[in-house]
Amino acid sequence: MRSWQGGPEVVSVNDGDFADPPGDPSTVEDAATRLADVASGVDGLAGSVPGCVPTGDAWSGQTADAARTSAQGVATALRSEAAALLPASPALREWASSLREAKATMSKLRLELQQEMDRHSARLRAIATEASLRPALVPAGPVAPPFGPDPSIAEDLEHAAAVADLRRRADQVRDDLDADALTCRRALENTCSQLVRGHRESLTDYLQGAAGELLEQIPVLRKHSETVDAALWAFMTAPQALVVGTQAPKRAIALMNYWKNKDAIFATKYSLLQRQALTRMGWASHMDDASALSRFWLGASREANLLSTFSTAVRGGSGWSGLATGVSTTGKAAGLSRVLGVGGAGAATLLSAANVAAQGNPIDAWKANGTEYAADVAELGFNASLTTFMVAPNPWSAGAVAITGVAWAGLEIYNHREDIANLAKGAVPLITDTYDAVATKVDDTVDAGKRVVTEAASNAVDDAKKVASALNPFD
Amino acid sequence: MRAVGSELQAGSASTGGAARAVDVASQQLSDHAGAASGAAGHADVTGGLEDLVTFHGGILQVLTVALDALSSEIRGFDTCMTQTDAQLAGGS
Repeated sequence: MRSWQGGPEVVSVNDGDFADPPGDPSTVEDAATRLADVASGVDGLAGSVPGCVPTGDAWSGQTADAARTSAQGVATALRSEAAALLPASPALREWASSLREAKATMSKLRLELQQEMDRHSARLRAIATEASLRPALVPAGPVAPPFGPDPSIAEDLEHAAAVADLRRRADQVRDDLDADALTCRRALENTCSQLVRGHRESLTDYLQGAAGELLEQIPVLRKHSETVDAALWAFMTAPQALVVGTQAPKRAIALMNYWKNKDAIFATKYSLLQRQALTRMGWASHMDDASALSRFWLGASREANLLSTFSTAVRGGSGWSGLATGVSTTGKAAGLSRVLGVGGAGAATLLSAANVAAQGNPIDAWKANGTEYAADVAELGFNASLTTFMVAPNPWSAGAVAITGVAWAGLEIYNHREDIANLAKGAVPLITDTYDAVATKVDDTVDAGKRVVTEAASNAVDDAKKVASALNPFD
Repeated sequence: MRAVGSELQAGSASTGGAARAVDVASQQLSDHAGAASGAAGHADVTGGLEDLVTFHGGILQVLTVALDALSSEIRGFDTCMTQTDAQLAGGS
C-alpha cells in the first residue's frame, strides 16, 4: 500500500533535535542567591574594615594616618567590588528562568511529536484497513484508481509537514536559548573591568573600552563617560575614515569615467592637494608628470600590474640577480607613492584580519556582534581591496574599493549613531569642563609657585636682615 | 601605655579577621560560581562565570593580601611600642 517510495522522515521522541536542553535551573538559581549573599557579605565587610584600625586616641602619628588611609582604601575597594558583583545574581536568575522555560517548551514539543506519531500510525492503519476492503468494491481489470490518489501519500506529506513544524519550533527554542546565554554572558562580563577582553569582542572595541576606562579615572572626564567613549571612537576611527573618505569617492569617480570613456584612468597620479602644493612651491612648479622627481614619486608605469611586472622581470634573470632585477624593475614602475600605499594598505589589511579573526567563528561572531561584525568584515574587505588596487589598478579593484568603502562607512555610521549623537550633544560641555579643570589646576599650581617664591624671598630677606644685624656693631 | 598596646593588638586581630573573611568570600565566590557553571548547561554562561571568578576572585585575593599587610603593620607597631616600653622601664 505504501506506494510513495520517498516516505516521511523517520523521527522519534528521542531525536536529538528534541533533546532536553542541558542544565539545572534550580541549582543555577540557588547559586545565584548564594552569590548575592557573598556580595552583600563583602559590602558588610567594607563597613567594618575602617573600624579595625585603632582610633586616634590610641594610635596617632604618620603610621597611624597611613594605616587609616589604607583601611579606607580597602573599604572603598570592597564596596565597589560588592556593587560590581551584585548584577551577576539577577543575570544568572534570568538565565535559570530561560533554561526552565526552554526545558518546558521542549518537553511540550516532545509530547506533541509523540501525539503526531500516534496520530500518523493510527491514520495509516485506517488507510490500510480501508484499502483491504476496497478490492471488493472495485471492478476487476487494470483501471485507474477511481477513488482518487493513494491517501497514504497525502497522509505522509501531512505528517512530514507537522514534524517539520515541530522541528522548526525546537530550533527556535535552541536559538532563543543561545541568545539568552549570550545576554547572560555579557551581563557577567559587565561586572568585570573593561580591561578584561569580552567574549568575541573585537580588538578595536577592546582597546577602545580599555582606553575609555583608563580615561574615566580622571575625575573631570568621569561625568562625561558617554562623550569620552564617543570621542575615543571618533579618534580611533579617524585614520580609516580618512582613507575611506578619500579613496572610495576617487575610485568611484574613476570607475564612472571609465564606463563613459573606456580610458585607462586607474593610474597613480598627483592628488589635487599635491598638485596645488607643487604649484605653490615655485622650484617644483615646473615639475610635470614626466620629470625625474615625478617618476620617482609616481613611478614609470603608473597602470602596471606590479605582480606581472615583478614576475616578468624575475623570469628575465636567474637566481638572486633575477630577484634583484624584479625588485628594482617593480620599484621603478611603482614609484614611492605606490610602494608606500601597498605597504600601508597591506599593514591595515593584516590588522583588520586580526580584528576579524579575534572574534572567532564567523557565524557565532555574527550572532554575537551583528552589524558590528559586518562592519569589521567590510573594513577588512576595504583594506584588502585597496591593497589589491595599489598592486593592480584596474576597474575591478577600483570597484571593490568603492563598494567596500561605502559599505564600511555606512555600517560604521549605523553602529555608532548613538556615539555620533553623544559627540554632537556632549562635546562642548566636555571641552568646557576639561578647560575649567585644567585652568583651575594651572591657577592652583601658579598660586602654589607664587607662595613658594614669596616665602623663599621673605626667608631670604629675613636671613639678610639677620646677617646685617649680626654684622652691625650698633645693633 | 600598654592600654594603647591592647587596642593595637585588638586592631591587628580584627584586621586579620577581616582578611580571613574576605578570603572566605573569595572561596565562596569560586564555589558558588562553580556550582552555577556546572548546572548552567551552556558554554557561554560557563565562560562568563569563569571570567567572573578569575576577575573578582583575583580582586578579593588582592584585598585579602592588603588587609593582611595592614594587620601586620598594626602588629609591628605594637611590637615596636612594647620594645619602647621595655627600654623606658629599663632606663628608669
